[in-house]
Amino acid sequence: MRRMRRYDGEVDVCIVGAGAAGGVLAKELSEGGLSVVVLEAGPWVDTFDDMVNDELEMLQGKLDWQGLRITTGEHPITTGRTNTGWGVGGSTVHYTAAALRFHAHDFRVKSDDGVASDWPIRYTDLADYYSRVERELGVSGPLHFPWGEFRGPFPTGPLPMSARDEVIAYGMTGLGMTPVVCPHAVSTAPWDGRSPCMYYGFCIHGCKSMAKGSTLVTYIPKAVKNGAEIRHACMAFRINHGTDGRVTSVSYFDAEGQEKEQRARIIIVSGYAIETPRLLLNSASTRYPDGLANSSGMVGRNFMVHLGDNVYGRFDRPLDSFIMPPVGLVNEDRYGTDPNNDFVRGYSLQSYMLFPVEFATDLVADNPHLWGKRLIDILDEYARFAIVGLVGEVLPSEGNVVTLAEEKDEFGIPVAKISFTKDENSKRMSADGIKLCEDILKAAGAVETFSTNGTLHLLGTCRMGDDPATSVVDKWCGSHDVPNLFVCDGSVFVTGGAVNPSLTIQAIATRAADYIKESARKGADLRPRAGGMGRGSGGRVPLPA
Amino acid sequence: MEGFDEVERRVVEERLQTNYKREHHEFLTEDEAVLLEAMLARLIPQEEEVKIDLVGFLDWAIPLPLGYGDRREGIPDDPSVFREGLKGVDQTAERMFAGGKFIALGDGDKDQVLRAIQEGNAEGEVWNEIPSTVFFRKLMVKALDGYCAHPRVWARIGFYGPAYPEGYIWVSQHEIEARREKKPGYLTF
Repeated sequence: MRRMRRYDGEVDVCIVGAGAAGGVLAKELSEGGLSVVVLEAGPWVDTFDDMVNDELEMLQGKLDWQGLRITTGEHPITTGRTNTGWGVGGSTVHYTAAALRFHAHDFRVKSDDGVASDWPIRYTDLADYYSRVERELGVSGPLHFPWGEFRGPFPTGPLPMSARDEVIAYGMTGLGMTPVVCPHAVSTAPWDGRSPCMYYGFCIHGCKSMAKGSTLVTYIPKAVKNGAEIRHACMAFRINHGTDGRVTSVSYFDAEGQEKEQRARIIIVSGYAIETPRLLLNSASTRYPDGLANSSGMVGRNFMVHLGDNVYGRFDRPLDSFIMPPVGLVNEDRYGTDPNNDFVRGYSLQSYMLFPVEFATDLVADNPHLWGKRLIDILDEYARFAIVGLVGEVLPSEGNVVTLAEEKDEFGIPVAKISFTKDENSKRMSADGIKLCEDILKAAGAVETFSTNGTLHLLGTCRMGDDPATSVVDKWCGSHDVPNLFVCDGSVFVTGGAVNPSLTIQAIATRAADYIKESARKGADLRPRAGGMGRGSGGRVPLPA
Repeated sequence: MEGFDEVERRVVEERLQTNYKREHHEFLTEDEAVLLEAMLARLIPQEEEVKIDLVGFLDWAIPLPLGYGDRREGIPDDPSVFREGLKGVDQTAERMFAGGKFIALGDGDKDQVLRAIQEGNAEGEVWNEIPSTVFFRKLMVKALDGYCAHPRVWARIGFYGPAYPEGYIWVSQHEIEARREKKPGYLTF
């Protein structure tokens, strides 16, 4: 792995961030013959040597973005553990690997429901790219998936149901719901040189085998093989541009803290929905006084998360729910808008479990009255608990925003400030979802329940759209303002859907990579143009030699 | 811990030696350590003969982010929240029980002080700067990081610890119950 090509001087593409999107872009673009350098702020851990089946060990800066961020708003989020990765592979190193597609209606929320905005692309634009990503990751899934446009089959067979899943399935079917084994980016058969899942369960603490298809073990090794260079421990802090307004290079601090600069013909920002706007805003200049790619003023706006409410249910017998990947079953019966609800859009449900540290800390963070003997009694029953949680769609709002704080990080770069307030729709959705989770657990035989109110994922802040006045990038992830600058990660999401976003992020990245490769092959300027941009449409200026 | 592989065993053994028992505290003063000990005896009660040194753990853990780097606007960093919060505990104890220090109170009175801090209606100058609920939550989270990362607690609560390298091959209801009967009690750690 570390036998890697090194570049000196200008390259075709510099990507900031080696996560879900950055890994895909690096592999796809290097495969197309482009020279690629990826700058990653965090470490490059080795699956076998550095991953340990231990929560506390992995909490010490191996997986999570622990850099300072200021949070505010009426419902300040927490950042790090549940939503931001750190290191090569990014969040895919700690994600649950639930590999779920958006539904067709997720791309036309405004048309269907009169809220938020439509995407400039449709499900059909992504369908083939979803399939490509699923094959690359060796996604495992049920024989038949009953919701959305894609019903299977998946590249590898489903994970088995654990004792917990049998119990939750019983509860769901009792309420007339359909429990299905969740598709995972976890292969259940040998796949592309990776071994199948051994049910360690430690997916969200870094999979110690290569069964979980983080980009660390899938796309990144292929990118390196193709000749891409991954520079870890390199913190990008500014994107520079020339007098013509085109971006020219990325300034960063390397592992020794030395200031360096990487020149590139194309720059792609893939730092996820907090670090991406932070970098663009920190790149403000006299030409771009409000930050790069921000003539619309939309960089940082429409920050979204998912509702991540969990309900813990205690049963009368041990379930050992920590066995197997943490997400077991999925249910999308409540996905999308139901006119009978008192909220628009919807949520999906997943059976879930946490290892002891997070089981306890999540519980007390939202239930501070649990302490003393009462708390110890609950913890003693740890093995008898199962969790059902939701992934709920939060609508975009301009008031939920990522800006720059006055505080600075250890390099002297202003850190991000994240303001988040839950709207009434989200509160009603949470209440409905928590009630349903409680009903499922009780129908399954739970004797006691507790709920927690977390949020998951980071989306929006550089949304895509056809109108440069109201969006940051076009439907190919190209900046409306700067011809050779792209943003490609969860930031470009227009709305959030109600499933884990990584598969969609990776499908979008694969599509953007195809566009960039095609343009480069034709020697075209990479400026995305107004007036729609079909593949191969004209009006491009050749790149200067 | 016989079932653990070499790496996992080393991680856990190192933790037992360096993260819990500490020769002398690096962050906490003597008085702060005594106060914390008295609070934790009420918040996370343990049996004396198998007690985990959570004060020592907190001394190690308080300055560390442990997975979360965010800071709420207007709230100081974690070391300040803990240091000031501990002053606040005695301020509240003095207001509620006429000049008494927390450690000198009886169990019932201690619980009343902690309850006031947890519910956010505690009196004391410190709580004008730092909401007592924020301090309480941070204290519980970091203390439980330590409690739940100790192999003795794993055995007590029925968690098997690291699954590597053989994986959890017993997954169904009757399989996990069969496995359970073979596991040793937590006192053997």
